[in-house]
Amino acid sequence: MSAPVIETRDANLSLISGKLPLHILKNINFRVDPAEVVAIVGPSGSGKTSLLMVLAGLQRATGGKVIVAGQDLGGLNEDQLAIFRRGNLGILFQNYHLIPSLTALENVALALEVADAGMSFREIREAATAALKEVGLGDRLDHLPSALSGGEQQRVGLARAMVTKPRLLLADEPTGNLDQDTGSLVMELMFNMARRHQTAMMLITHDPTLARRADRCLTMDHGELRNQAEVVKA
Amino acid sequence: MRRIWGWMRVGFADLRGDLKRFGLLIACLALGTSVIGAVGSVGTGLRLAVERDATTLMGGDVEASRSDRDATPQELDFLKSLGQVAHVVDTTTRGTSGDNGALIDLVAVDDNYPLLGAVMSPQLSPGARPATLLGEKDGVFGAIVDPLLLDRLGIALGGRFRIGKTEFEARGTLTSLPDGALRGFHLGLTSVISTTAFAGMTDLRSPLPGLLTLHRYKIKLSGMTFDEAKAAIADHFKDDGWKTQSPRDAAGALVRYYDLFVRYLLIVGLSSLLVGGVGVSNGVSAYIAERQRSIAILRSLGATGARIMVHFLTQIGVLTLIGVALGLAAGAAASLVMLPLVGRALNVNLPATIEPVPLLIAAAFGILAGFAYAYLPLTRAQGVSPALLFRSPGAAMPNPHWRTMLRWSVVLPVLLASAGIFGLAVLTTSDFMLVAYYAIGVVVTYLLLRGSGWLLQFALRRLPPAPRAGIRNALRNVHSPGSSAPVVIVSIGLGLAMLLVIALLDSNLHNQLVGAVARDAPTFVATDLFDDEVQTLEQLQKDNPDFTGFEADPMLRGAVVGVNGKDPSTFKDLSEEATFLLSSEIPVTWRRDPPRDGEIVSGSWWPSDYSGPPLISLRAPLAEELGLKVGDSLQIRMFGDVFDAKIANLRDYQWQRGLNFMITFSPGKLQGYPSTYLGAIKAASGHEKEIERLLTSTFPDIAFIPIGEALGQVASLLGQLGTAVNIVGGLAVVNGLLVLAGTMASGRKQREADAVIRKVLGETRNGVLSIFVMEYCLLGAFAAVIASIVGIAAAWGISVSALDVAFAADPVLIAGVILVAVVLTVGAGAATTWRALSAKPVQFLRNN
Repeated sequence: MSAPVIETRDANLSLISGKLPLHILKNINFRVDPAEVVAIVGPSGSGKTSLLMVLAGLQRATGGKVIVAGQDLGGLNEDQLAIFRRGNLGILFQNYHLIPSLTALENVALALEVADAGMSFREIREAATAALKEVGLGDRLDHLPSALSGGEQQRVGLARAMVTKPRLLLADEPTGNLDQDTGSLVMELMFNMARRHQTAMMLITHDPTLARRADRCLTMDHGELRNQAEVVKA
Repeated sequence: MRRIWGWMRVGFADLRGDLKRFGLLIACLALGTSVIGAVGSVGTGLRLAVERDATTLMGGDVEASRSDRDATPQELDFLKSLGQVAHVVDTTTRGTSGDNGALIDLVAVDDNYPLLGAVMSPQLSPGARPATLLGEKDGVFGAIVDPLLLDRLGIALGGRFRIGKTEFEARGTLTSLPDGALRGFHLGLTSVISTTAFAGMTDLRSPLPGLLTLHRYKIKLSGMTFDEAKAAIADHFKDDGWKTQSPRDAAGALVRYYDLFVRYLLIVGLSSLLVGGVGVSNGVSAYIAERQRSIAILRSLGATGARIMVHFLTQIGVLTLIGVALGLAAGAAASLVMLPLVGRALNVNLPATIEPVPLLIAAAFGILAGFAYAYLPLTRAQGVSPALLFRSPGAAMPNPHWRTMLRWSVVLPVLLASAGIFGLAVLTTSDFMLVAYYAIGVVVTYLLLRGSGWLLQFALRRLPPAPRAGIRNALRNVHSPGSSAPVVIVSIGLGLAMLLVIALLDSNLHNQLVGAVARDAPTFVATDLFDDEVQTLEQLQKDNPDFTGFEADPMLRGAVVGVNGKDPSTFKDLSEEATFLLSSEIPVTWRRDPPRDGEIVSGSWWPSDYSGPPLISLRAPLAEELGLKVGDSLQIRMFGDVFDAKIANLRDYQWQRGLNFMITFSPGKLQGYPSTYLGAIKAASGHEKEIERLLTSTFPDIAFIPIGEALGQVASLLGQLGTAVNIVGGLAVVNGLLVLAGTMASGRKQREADAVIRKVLGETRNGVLSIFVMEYCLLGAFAAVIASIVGIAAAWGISVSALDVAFAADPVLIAGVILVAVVLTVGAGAATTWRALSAKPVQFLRNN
């Protein structure tokens, strides 16, 4: 059995709210294998996004171990976490979070430039162009985000997340702001790309149809992992 | 109307809780308004005080004066019949004590002086007249002297010094003369002696051409008005030599001088407001961009463009009024503090009062500037479409189409407000050309900075991509859509250009008076040298290696009695120099060869063996002012003869470089008249004191004027004026910094968002920081280079055309300014970027 992409051991996240500790995540234990697709479902405020933040190294677990791509995130400082993200993670947001002053191409190229993989500017542009073509935006390369629809912006976000060929894609309600047809299109693209690049994927969703497309579905409630059921494919 | 009130009420309510974000906008307006208010208030207070106290400041109801002699006993009797008379003689001479010497502004007064006010000295009991200290005791007359003179002469109070062959005892130190403010600029350190002592000093020589002795008779009239007294004096004396002036005339010159200076300060102060206006414009732009969604919501609810304009105009109006009110309060407070200080410095009684008119003018400037700068960004609010609600958040405000910007409804209000500012500036300075040149300078500077910003972005967009990703990203930040680069360049550039103009003018004036330019000036000059004295000086030069130069020009006195046959009195509104040329006997010389310095700008010099009819070389600016050219002639009176002298050439020279005469004659005619010599002596650097000792011991009765000391005194006076300009100009630079901080702050949210996304993508803190630092270094350096070009060009224009001083741009000064600009930009950028670097991605990602 190959090494897991994610492994958490009694991961906890507590914040101090007023004078009382607020337990956001409680003793989370699970693992995700390479190329596996895992959905996280649960009511609002159950800790889904917090778990994603902890896995992305954007927030530190206050207890337990969080190991992503073989790296214990607890031992890394801010800069080491940033360097870790470059080589291993892609993140897709519900609100896209594109840089408004950069074109679609520049937004995607930015991920490769930050990754500093020794590519020339030309190679970066070619790779970014290919990624945008892969999500069907080959004709919108020079458009600013403000000139793109929500679905198009999310596809740029997907191209940006996948252009570095990460081992793990974290997606936080990626279709939450999109209509059903557009959401389906983005989902299709996301699953296809993950499969093609053998990227493990962890996505938060409220959409049961989407959750059913995952290999496994984790259910969260009040900061705890209630269920890790295998999804029964039709 | 009721509907508009309703709209305004909503706009006002919409501002609640948002005032804090406008801190910098309000500060920019307040600072500009306060500078104009304070300068105007102090200037007005000074003018009113001088006019109010003119009689005391002149020391009488009327003053009769002449330059060549005292009043005869009969003339004095007549003057005494008009009222109580005080006699004062002003002249410039040299005092010595042992090896030490100093230039003295000599004031000889009689027992009646002063008729009004009091001479202030710690050694004089209150109300006592100076005569109590000036009388003869043990064969020595007393003097009340400037405390600095004691230091220069190396004596203590009670010590003795000489003026020519007459000995004086320093019996008091001088704090102030009651008519000190109206005496104007005098060379040397003031010393008061008695007219009795002065009458005994028969060896006094006029030290420099133009530094004339003036015999003044101040009269406190009894039962007569000034006009009656003036008519009586004119009727009785029937002599051109007597001049009469009223307190209003005497104060007029001082008031004009202060007014002129205050006008220039107001223009410098206006710069502060205009630079600050950029902050208003940036602040309003950022506010409108942030409120796009709210505007779109209002539009979707059916709000018209007019309603949107009224809504935001109300808000900006309230903010402008707050800024202006704060500025007025600060300006009034500053003038309350400054008036007594300025009064003490200028020897004028200036009580701490608030002058409403200049404050109202400052308020009008502030309101007009607030409107002019805010209106264009506000028109963009009208263009926000409700469709925006269906687009993505965070998009920058789209740039309006240029046709939209040229609509009358957009252009006309801004033009009217600008015309209002221009008109108000003309009204307050009474100098249309000054304001016009200034306005052209401001507009050209703004367009250059703005245009160069666009050009920089244009060029960067077309440059091949930099090989390193960090540099590429920094450059992209500068040229990408919505970048604040053009605004940052204008913000830094305007303030810096102002700073450079002030700094360069200051350094060039200083250089002209005490620096490299003045180094060519003679060390000492002496007038009325006789042939034997010239020969002795030539011998001294041969014998002493530190006596490096001696030149003697023949010096005669003559009067210009006709200009191309026209009576000189028909020329009106002349400069001081031209007035001196036409209204009195002036020193003239003759030469075979042209002087070494200066240049012939028109015509040619005569052959060295010329002996024909008199030709003259005239100072070029004088010829220009009087409309004279080569071939024209002046009618000259000399020793009772009147003759024609044809202009052979026009020369230009700088007076600091050596001795120059306004009129230089060809050889021939003037050789027939008796003449003395004007001598210019140059001492080796560091040996001035030795040469001075040699001169004073060889010629104890000749006053050698130390030119360096005189230039130093002028430089010190200009230094005081320069301090005022630097303070007021410095505030314009401070406003530029506020604008820069505001610009950076308004872009902070976007930078935070960009930084978070970069960090999420894996960029390290140092990586994010280095991109921002590179971006700010580039912007700061670019703005500084453009501002340097503009500042140098403006300073050159002012130096050459208005101040007539040689221009040099000090590379160290310019490099310093560029460095300061880069440091300030990076500093201001770092202050806002630090928050961006520290921004927690979690918080941002959750909230956005």
